[in-house]
Amino acid sequence: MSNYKIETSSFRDSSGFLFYENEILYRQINKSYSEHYDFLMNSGLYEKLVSLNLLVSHSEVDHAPPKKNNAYKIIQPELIPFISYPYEWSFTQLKQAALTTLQIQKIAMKYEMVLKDATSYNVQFKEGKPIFIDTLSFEKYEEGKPWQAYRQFCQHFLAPLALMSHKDIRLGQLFRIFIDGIPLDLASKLLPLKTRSMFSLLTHIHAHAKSQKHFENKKVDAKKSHLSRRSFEGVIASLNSGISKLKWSFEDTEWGDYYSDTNYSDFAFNDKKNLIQKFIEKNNPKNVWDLGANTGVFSRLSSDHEIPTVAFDIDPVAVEKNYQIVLEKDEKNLLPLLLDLTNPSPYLGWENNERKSFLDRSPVDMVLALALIHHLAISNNVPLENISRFFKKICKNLVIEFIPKSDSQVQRLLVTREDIFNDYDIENFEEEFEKNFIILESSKIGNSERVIYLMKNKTL
Amino acid sequence: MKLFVLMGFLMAFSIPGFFISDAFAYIDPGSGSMFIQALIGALVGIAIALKIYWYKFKEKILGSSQKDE
Repeated sequence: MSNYKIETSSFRDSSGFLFYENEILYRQINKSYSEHYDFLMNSGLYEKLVSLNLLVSHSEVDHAPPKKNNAYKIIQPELIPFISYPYEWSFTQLKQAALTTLQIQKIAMKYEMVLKDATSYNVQFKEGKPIFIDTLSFEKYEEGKPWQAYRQFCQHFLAPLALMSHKDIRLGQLFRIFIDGIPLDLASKLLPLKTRSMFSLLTHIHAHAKSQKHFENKKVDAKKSHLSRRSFEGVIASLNSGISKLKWSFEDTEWGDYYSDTNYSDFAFNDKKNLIQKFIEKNNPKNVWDLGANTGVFSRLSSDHEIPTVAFDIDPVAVEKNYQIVLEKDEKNLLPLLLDLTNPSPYLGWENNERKSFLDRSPVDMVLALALIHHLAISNNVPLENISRFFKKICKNLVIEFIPKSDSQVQRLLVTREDIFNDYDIENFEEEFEKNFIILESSKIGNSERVIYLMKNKTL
Repeated sequence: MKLFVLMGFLMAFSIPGFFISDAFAYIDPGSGSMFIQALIGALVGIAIALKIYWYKFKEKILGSSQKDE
């Protein structure tokens, strides 16, 4: 066993861990988990969940274990194209992840197994739908034993969804601060009074938080713990009903209707689409990130051609609308995610290394940066030099649109502020980008002043 | 229903050591969480049982009245 690297997010559970060797992902299953693993595989539960696309598949491999003393088996799990985190999901993505977790728990119970944890990080998105990625989360059900993962489920799913639904959608970002989900006392304080009249939120959040406070640091008697099977199923059903009722009725934000609020004609819009399409076909990328994707009109130019595409946007409404389209059309290659490029997802957790930063998940084969640069340069005061450097780090190929100061969309940004952006013009733009990229092609869009470029990274 | 929950909650709080667990797990299930889970489980369990009996009762009444017709 030589060049293995342990995946930094899988250290908490003593049942096993993930590791990479020669860029292949493996999972060591420890002896302590052998009984549960065999039960998962032999009971038919694994097969059932995989057949329903609810659990990642794996194959058992003959591979030397990194930690021999504990090793029971080595498995090679199916890979997820892009790892995302709950603070990057839209409301419906988190809700779907919650319902998937409960669905898995319900099915597991029929096979006499339970989920021993219920963290949102155990769910990822594959082909547009949530899928459970932790094969070692299942353990044999013991009659009378309560659900160990109950608190974690409330913190990771019910509390954030309730806050996003009943208070403010931006509270989903609390995930960035609280790695193990939103503390229930905080959720209880933040939620409006009306939520106390809703059975699921009254019990699973408000009373739950009170109960946690009451029993804080109290020694307890294990023998008196008992939850019948019917009650166990009742708790899951109650959570399911509570989650299902949560809705988010959004009002249009600044960018939600961006496509109907553009300043260019149908001709220019179609011309832009054709140019991007041409650049994508020419480049034939393995994967694409569309930054500032809005509801994904241009992202679909790649995802519709079976290129795995991630559509990032800062606006929760745009990401929500985009994901609704993915669900509606059953799209397999598009993953809409929430991201503020001016403050992208950082490294989080233990040793600052448990959850990966946005940059750490790059480079990608191609980035689309359409109608984006003026937001970075003018709304956020980022010099063109820094923007060019940023793109150099994240992509091998770049399709970027330059929008000159004369454009009404840029003028709109300058209405309320002094124009201090003397360097913001096409000459400086090209000069700065040519430091890091080779400009392969460029073309004006229709009858507008906007220019689209296809560039190749000089170093990646 | 709300009153029922509140009563159950208060009653259960008054019994020391009721439904508490220090069950072995790699994540801390939390005593307060175990308690409230047991309470909700019991309430929902009773509600389900009542619902089942109610449907059975209704079926019996309606079933027999349909037979009468």
